[in-house]
Amino acid sequence: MMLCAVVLSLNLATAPDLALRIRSALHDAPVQRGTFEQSKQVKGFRKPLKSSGTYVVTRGQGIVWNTLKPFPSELTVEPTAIASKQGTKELFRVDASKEPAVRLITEMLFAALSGDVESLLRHFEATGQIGPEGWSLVLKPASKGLEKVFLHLELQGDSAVRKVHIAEATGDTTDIVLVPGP
Amino acid sequence: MKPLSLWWTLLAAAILGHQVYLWTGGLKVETQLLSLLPRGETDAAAEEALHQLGESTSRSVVVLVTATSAEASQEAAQRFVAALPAERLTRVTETSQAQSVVELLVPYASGLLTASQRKRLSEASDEDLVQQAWSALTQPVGQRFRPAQEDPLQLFSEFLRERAQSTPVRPVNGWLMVGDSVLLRLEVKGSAFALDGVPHLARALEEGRRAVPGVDVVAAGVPLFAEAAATQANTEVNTVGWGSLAAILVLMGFAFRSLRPLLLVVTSVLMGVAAGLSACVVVFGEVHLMTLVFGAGLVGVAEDYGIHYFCSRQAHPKQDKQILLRHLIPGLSLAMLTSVAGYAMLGIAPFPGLRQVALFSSVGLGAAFLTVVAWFPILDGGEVRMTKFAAAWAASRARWPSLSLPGVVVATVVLGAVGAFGISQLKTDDDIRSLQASPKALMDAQRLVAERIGLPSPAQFFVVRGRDEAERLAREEALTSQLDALRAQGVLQGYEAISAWVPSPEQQIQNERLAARVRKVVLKALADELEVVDDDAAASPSRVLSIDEVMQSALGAPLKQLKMSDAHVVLLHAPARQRLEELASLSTLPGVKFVDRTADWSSLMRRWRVGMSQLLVVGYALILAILWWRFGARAWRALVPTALASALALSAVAFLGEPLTLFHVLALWLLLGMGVDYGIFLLEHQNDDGEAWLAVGLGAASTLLSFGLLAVSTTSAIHAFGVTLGVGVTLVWMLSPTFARN
Repeated sequence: MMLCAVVLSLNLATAPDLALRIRSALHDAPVQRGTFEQSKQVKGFRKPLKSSGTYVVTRGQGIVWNTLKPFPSELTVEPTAIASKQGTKELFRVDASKEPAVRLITEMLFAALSGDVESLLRHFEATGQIGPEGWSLVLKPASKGLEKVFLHLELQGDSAVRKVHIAEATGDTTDIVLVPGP
Repeated sequence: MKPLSLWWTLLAAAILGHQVYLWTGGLKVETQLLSLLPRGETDAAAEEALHQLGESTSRSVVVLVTATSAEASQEAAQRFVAALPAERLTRVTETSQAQSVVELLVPYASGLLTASQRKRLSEASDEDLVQQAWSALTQPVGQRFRPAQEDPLQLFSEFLRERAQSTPVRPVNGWLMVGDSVLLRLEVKGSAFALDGVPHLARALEEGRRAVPGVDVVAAGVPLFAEAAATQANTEVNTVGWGSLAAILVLMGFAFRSLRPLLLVVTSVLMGVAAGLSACVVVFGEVHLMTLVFGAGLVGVAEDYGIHYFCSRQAHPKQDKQILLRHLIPGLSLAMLTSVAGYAMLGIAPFPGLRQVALFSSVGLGAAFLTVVAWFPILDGGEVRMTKFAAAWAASRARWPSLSLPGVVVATVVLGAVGAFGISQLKTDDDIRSLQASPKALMDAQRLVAERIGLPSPAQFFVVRGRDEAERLAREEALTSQLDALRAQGVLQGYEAISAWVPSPEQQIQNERLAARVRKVVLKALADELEVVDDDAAASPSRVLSIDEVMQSALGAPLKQLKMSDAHVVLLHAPARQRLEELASLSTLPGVKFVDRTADWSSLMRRWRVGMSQLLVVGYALILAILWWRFGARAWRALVPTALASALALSAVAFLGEPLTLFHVLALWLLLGMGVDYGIFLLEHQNDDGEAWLAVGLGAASTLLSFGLLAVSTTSAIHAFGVTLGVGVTLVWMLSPTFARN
């Protein structure tokens, strides 16, 4: 019994510890902006779909994902809603408070792009390493619900998140490279 | 023993046997107010739909548990459920059917498009389509149910998302969530409505609430209303029944100062109630709670015959009982027949509840009468002593103001004018909703839950007919496209239709063509940059989804209530009350019929209120004819007091500010049937020493008490009877001796 408790507490200690160290490595800015390059390999297509644009991550507020190439479109992920626009035309909008599943996924996406490791660790099991050059993290879903969406996530970064790799249950994989800038 | 006594004894034994069976668990009591309302006069599919809606909700209670967050709500719901007494309420376990619904629909997916998708796709340029596809494909995360090359725009995901929006309820980790609230579905266990008057369900929910202090818990459901009605009715049955019985006992105690008359009269009353109840169960298979409340009022009427017998006995202690009875029978039977006729008139209106009351009361009065005639001379052994109370009362007959002919004319004109003025001030109300007597807290909770979880209106819906399923679906689509437009204007919040999930075959083929064109455009545009793997899969056409297939799947359960044997039902969410006419105007679409039960019932109530009022004139003429046959030119003296009392009773209703309903009019029929009795008794025994006056007084006082007690009922229909009869009987009692000259 005693042993059990010790092992448990050891396991628990590692994950928050990692989170803490990554958190301290990250440059703590309320608003981060930059450009991104996304390459998405959709199952059923031989070549990946490439797109690029700009992004703005506002702490606690959300992300604006502004694709410029090949077609302009804007994806907004907020705590309350996820919406997609093409020019002025709204393609879709999902109210997060009414769709708990959507809310969880958008929260995780937001956490991944903004480097909110604590939030991620509530729903994923993490293994990772941290060194002088930077850190990397592999996340596996801890719940059945998330397993239906994500196979795993990989994050790399230093003072900011630099690369995100998303492997989805659909078989799609997405690689996003973030270049912080003005 | 005379043959009548013998036969009545045998029948009474049978009735008593039946009663033993009933009170040891055989009695089925209906508590739903709706079942008092008439079955539809025309539309069988509407009835079937109503019945199904009723069935599916009759045992289920829904509870919304809301704490500070979704997780807190779930945790509270857990504790709430654990605290519920399992023998009363158990939780229905929720299994998410989403996966199997998706699996069912995937093979047919390219034929499934929502109206807004169709509009968007057919209006979009090729370039728009390509951009939309790109944006759909490159979204960082998305749920995909079909391969991207088959459905590059992810139309099927969008279809499912839009369909899911017809309800705000979402399954999450084995809970049903509505926003941050947990929706619990509970099933009522065992017989919920024990007639002990204890609100078991309300108490069970209270136990649950105590386990989660500070958490918002709102419960709704038909069983809660039924229980509230049952406990309320239980109190009323006891008040009215025991109250009037006690009153009779006190009055008779004073009048006879002897146990035997008391016991015998109570016997006649109980025989009446027992026979009425048995007849109801035999004919209807059950008895409605409201019938019992009303039936309790019968106690105050059925004792009249026994009292009359003993008043005569008391006045003529030396006379042979059989001869005395023979002398009484013409008046008694005439009085009984007019009362039965009055009650029977309640039964000609097509309201099942009233029919029960009519049968219960007619049989009850007949049985009480038979008990007096068949048993009293045998069981009533000794003497009936004169008492001071009885003597004083009987003597008061001589001092009671009695009018000469001119006086009578003047009184009639004056009282008639007052009555006419009162009647002219009456407002009318035929709204069936005014019958509802449920506690406000319960109504508020029901409304809140209905709004939060989007319950369909039980009173307004569409019925769609057609030759076959294909035609029904096509007609339904014509209807729902109009409903979409009305929804945009706020006439309704939403609707449930089978065609939302299963488009008509014709529509599915059109959808498929549209989707195929879109796919071709998109894949061609993308082909410059992408090499598509396995293009053949994209070209394979899907089959047409049929209703039968859907009904056998997990989707069948929620759609079941929309499919009748030969019609479809389209249920409406929160239709705006003031704009029902716009919905009704859609009945001009082929095969479509708008059903508005509230309006139907209200118009039915109005028709019967007017009809029964007009018929009342015929009733008076008929009673006058019968009285003429017995009393000749004096007949009017027995009838005019009742007519005046009726008019004045209506004036009283107007004075109280209550609107006139069908039930006031029906009460006037009862007043006619009973009020005339007093006139008959007084005319029959015009030259007695006031014993008929004593009998009328005792009878009227107890009738007054029992019907007066009905006025305390919270059910407005019963209250209407109480007020009308309370005022009416008092006035007839006062006026009859004035008009029947000694």
